[in-house]
Amino acid sequence: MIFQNLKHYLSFIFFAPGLIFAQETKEIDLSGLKPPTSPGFTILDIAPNSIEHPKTIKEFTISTANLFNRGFEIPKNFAFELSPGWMLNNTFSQITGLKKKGDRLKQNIFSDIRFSSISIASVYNDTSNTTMLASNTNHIGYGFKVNLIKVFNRPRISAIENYINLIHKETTGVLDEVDPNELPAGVANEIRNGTKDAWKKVIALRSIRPLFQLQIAGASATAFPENKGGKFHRGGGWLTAGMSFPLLKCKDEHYSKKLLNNSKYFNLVLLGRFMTSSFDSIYLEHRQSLLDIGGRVELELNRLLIGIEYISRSGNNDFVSTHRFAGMIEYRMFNNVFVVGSFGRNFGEYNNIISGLGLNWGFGKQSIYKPLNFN
Amino acid sequence: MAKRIYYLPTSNPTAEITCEVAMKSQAYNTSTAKLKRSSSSVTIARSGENGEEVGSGSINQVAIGAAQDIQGAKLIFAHSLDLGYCTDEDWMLILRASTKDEYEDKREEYMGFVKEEKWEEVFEILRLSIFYSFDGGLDGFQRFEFDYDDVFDHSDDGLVIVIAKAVQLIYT
Repeated sequence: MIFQNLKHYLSFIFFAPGLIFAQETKEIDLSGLKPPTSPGFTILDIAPNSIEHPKTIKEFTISTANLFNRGFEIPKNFAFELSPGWMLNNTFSQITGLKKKGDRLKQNIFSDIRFSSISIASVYNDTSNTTMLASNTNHIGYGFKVNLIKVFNRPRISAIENYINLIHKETTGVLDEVDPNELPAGVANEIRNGTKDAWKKVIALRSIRPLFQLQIAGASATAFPENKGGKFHRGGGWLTAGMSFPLLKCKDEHYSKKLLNNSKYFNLVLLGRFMTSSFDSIYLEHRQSLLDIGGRVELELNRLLIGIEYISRSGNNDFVSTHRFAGMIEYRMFNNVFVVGSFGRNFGEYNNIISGLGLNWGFGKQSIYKPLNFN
Repeated sequence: MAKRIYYLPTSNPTAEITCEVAMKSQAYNTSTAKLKRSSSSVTIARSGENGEEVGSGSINQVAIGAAQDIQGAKLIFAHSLDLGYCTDEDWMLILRASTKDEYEDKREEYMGFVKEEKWEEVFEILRLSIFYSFDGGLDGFQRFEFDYDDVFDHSDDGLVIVIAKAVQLIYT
């Protein structure tokens, strides 16, 4: 105990000067290129206060009818997000993407497509006080986001299958004894108690980063000055591909147990973003396109995390291509204390040096350099 | 428990009687079918063991026996709806909750429905359907649905619900 406290004090004394620099490392992050949750809103630079989420065909019909309750005039000020998959009757295999029919459990790698989302928003700006949106203009943005592919490796599927087999055996064993003319005598609790641990393992195995994941999103926005005739177009596209390799031997007979406790990964993330616009910041005609392509390689070894990332930014017309290249090393000294070092160069030609060494003193087990989360 | 009867053909005592279960819900479903006579009982089918999708709860068409052999017997179907597999994201999908706050409210409401045994509301959320199809009897093909009073038991945490249905097999 005394030794632990001493370690805290010593680390504070040694690394306190680096605390300010440590904040800088938050900028070294590819997450800005990630597809936004609601591309249709992001493309308009808005964060709507209230978003309608129709979850049934009936709600969808009512919401759509309400939008056009003033005839065929372009609807103003609404934010609408829906996932058609929510309106359908889903089953265990559709929700989890895991299907066992016959001998082997299989994964439907495209199962998340069912839960793709569509976002549509409209903002009417009737003042000239803001530079973000053109005045007396209705802006309409629409976008989609799809989790296209999610792949678990075969050993993980096999591990899940073993637990599902256990659950099936346990459940049918109890159901075989059920007789509706007798008292229940806690059969549901018996099933629950007999399957609880196996389900926990299945949840944990499903929650670990997949071997491969691909997400795409797109959005477009058009402005309608005086609510007539589309003008000022803006569009965007996002792509994220991630691979995560647990540093374990796949043929290990205790693979599932080791995977659940594993903290050694090699991760590779590729991100791309394309933005195009037909106008500039003061709504003058100006065509510009911007392409960001980047990637990150990470090595997680228990307490140590090393990452290198690169982003190339290019554009048309007078845009000067630039890039960012940064490295990061993080070591978790205690649950909530991280030593963080960063180096590299940022976009642009001036003031672009990234360097820092510091101590991140947080609450909980929060690292500042988190592997990219796809959700 | 709503009483169901399937009449066997008196004119053809060797007629083979078959049954099938089509089940669907957002839970992990498991079903068994058991033939119970006065002195013995035998499990004739379990979902997922005869080419059915595991977790669907459905049972493909299975022979119960010749009419003369099963006269007076009862066919007992037992089903479990298990939500133990659900992550928070799965729950949000099942409950159609868009935000964390909405999810917490709806989950609490769902658990309330289970504890108060408001099965109509519970099965509306789980989008449960069970159809029992029989063939070979006096009226030929016949289909039953589950009834709300077929609910047999639920676990204390509300994650497992057991439904049981008995169909009496008799001559007229």
